[in-house]
Amino acid sequence: MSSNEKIALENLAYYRERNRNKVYAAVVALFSRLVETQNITKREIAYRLSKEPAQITRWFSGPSNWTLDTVSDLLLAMGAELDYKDVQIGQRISHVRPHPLLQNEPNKVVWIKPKEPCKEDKVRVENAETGTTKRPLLVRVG
Amino acid sequence: MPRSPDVALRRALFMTHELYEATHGPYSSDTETIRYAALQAQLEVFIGDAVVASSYLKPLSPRNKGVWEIKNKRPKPSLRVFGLFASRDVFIGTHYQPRPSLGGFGTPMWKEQIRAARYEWRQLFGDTEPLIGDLDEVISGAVYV
Repeated sequence: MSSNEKIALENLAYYRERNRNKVYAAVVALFSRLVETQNITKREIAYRLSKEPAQITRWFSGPSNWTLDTVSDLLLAMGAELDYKDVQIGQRISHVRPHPLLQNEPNKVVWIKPKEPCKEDKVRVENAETGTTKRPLLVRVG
Repeated sequence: MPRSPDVALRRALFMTHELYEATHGPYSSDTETIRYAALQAQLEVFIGDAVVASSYLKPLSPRNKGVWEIKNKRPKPSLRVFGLFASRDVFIGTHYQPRPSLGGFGTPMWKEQIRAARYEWRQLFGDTEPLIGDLDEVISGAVYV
């Protein structure tokens, strides 16, 4: 991303949502681990934060109303805080093995068309065809 | 493909053409732009996140129909993307609706979403049934909250 360009509105909105989801995922993952290792409950978290259990349930239903204070409180109630590390966009090193359906040309939109109707048939992935006039029925997003 | 180059490709998400066009622009206003850019990021949680919470992806009732909803609550209006699983970690998004249009759970509008999703599924897969199961059976990295 060039530092001389204004950031498009859709990118701002996209990365804001992405950030909210990352934070939510971190908190939820921690909660899940502590449920397994320490049998922690939402009721205990509520008690530690002087909140009603219903509030904790609402918080865990999604990051929509979370503030930075919400994040801090939930993590502290679980004996943790987040360790923030910046990563330049596009330079993250991923060790994740792509899903088998995404291993070939993962950044290419793939049009998926079913074969001619057949009771036993299943959809097959076909390479994108440029200039096709037939509208595809499925688009691979990721 | 995911908007961010940093989205890991853990799971495969497919959409009907109509759903893709509706959620990927071009848009007629800044409000729409913001709304659907947020939805894109939310859908990419399915593709790339190591952990997928039960709050994110829920089965519709009756569960034997195999229809699921992905929630995206903000910004308003809250949206729901509906779809079915072709196999574990492979989601077929069929359509979406603004949450306010659906009314209370169990109402005819919710049943209509199941019918619409199953219809789209049959157009693509005929008699083949979708994957039916609990969250941790249909996706990897499921956590219950």
